[in-house]
Amino acid sequence: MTLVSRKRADGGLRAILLLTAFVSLAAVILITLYLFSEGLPAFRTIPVGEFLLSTDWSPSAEVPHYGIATFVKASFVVTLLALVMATPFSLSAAIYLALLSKGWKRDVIKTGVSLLAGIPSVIYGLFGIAVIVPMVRSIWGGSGYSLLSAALILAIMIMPTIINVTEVSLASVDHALHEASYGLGATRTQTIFKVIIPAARQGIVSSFLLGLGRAVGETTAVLLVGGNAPLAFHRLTDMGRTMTMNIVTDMGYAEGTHMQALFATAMLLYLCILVSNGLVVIIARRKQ
Amino acid sequence: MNRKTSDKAMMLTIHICTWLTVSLLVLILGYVTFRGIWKRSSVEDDMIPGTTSGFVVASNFGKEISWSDLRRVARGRVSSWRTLTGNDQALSLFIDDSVRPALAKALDLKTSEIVTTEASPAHPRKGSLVIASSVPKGFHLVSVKNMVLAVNPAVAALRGNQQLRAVGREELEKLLSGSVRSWSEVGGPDTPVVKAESLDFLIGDEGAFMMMDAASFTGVPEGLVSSLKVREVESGPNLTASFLLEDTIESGKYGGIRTILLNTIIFILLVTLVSAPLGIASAVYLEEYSKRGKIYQVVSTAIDILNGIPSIIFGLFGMLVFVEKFHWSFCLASGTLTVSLMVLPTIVRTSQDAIHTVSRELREGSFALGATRIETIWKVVLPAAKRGIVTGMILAIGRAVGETAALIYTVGSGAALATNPMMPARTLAMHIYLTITEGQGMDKAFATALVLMVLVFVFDIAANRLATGKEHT
Repeated sequence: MTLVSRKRADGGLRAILLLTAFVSLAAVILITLYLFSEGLPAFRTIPVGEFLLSTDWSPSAEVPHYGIATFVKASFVVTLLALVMATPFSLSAAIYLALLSKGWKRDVIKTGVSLLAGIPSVIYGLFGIAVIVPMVRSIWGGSGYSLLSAALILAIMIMPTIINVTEVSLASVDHALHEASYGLGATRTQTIFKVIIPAARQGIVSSFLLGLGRAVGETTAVLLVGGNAPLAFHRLTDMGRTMTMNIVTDMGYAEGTHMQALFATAMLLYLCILVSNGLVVIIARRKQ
Repeated sequence: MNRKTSDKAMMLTIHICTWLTVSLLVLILGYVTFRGIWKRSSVEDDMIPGTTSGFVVASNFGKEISWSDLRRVARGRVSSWRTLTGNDQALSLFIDDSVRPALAKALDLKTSEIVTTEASPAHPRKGSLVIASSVPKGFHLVSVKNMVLAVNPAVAALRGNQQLRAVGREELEKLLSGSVRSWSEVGGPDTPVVKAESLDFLIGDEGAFMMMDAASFTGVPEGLVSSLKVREVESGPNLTASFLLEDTIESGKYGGIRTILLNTIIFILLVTLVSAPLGIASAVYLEEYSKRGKIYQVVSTAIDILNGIPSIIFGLFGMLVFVEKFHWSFCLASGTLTVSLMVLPTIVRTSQDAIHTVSRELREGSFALGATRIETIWKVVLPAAKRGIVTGMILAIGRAVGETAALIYTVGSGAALATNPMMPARTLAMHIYLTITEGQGMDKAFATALVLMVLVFVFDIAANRLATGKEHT
């Protein structure tokens, strides 16, 4: 090949590579556009206030109502509860991995966390039905299919995310800080909780936001253990339906306004995750 | 002194919490593995085997038949054993005319509703079912499940949020022998157990029970009596070689997962085929050409957003675009493209990292030898970054193979081998989901889950090995 044709091939391939790089961008734009163009028309028939604040979800009634307040509340409660339950374990594991361990013990925990992250959500759901649901039923009564079961499963599922991100940010705290703290006579606990964690707080907050994003968007596992009743719940051991459960349950048969209302729900979910992931990016930028 | 104690206590707490997290993993893995290889599910049945009067059922194929199945058979509604046992075997029915009245009575049918057939097989063909006054030569007796444990409605009534719906086989034996005094001993209300001798007594006494044959049970007006199911615990090997090698029959009710395993492999190949070239090419552009300018910023942000979008939203998008707009319907192609988009960020990010770590000297050496940029990328950079790129692809496949939410409304539920991309084809993960939601039994779900888990871990371990292993040259 002559130099000229080689150069031309170079230019042509460059254009192709540029196109492929734009596939991700196009996908994001298309997904956003579709979601909004299918979801926004819902508000022509459903007042925004009713959609967000009403707890009446009866799409098949004679006079249909599309209020998703119950589902938003359920998503919120389940996610928050999962975060609260996951916190002590995730923080401990991250501290242990980053600061306290080395050798085979560290390898065991590290591998364990990575395997935990790899288990598909449908298997978590299956485990939930077989173990967590009967456990909740025998302790608190009721059917066991409940928001509490969903939160327990989610707590396990988001632990690897929190552990990994927190570990990295704890490990990257300047070693001079550790030594200064010990030099002042602080114990290990004091050093960890008063020096290292505050220094790594941005990374820790990010890890919780990422865990939150994962918990809000999780579908299959919560669907299998949550009970999926579209009714208001009063206790954590009641059956409940989150936003994702609502989308996946009604998707199979919805039409017209009902379908639009589901897309509007997905829109809300998308915005929630966009905001929480946006915060992660902003935190990372500020750190730089 | 006090500070030291609290320090020790805190460290202990951290250690305990950490090891609890790992034991959670061990618990989950252990449980799924155990249930995967050993079945111990309790099967609840409406009726238990009883005797038949005036006729016998015989066959050279099945061993047991339920009352309602026998009813369907007698009315000529069943032509294959497939719906009874899952075996693809034609069912040839023979009913002796002399037993027709007795059969009709036992099945709660009119004599005219029973199909007319030849009286007995001239030569016993495999899959024959004979209903006659005695078992013909070359056949064995088939037991008919036709006895119902009928109870007074008060026994099976809802009490708060509890209800007695089934009793175990052993508990039934105890009930029959009279050694159970109160229903509370088997999980029912606190009323004394009474064995009824007549229907009137059964209806009149709050703690009464009686074994009834199916025909007389269905004859009682609704609401006057209830029935309890009988639970039998089945245990034995679960994930067997035949489960892996048999085709899936009746969406997983019978048979194994051979076709689903093959479909999953096809699905993995297709996803790799679509997402790997796209992802690697994107990474090459971002690292080698974009010079970290505007395009880099915009595309990077897009990849971050794409990475955070929940899989159910990908599922919605896939349904809207591939299934509906393109009229592809639920098929392998729709599912593949949806999941390919979903795993694209993983491949781009890991490939970017891998390309980024290739040393500058290698590139400059190549340029100095007169290679063009694309030649340098193709012959120098990509081979050097191969390991990291493959790691990313394996991670992506691991994610794709466990995906369900993005596939429920895109890939369809077909269990047959997909010979072209326009056919619906469930993957292993979807099969677990459908097995649970369609109530085909937890045992099959666990057996499939074990296979999926092993598959995912093989990918996971392979990726880890590649990522941490020493670089070969």
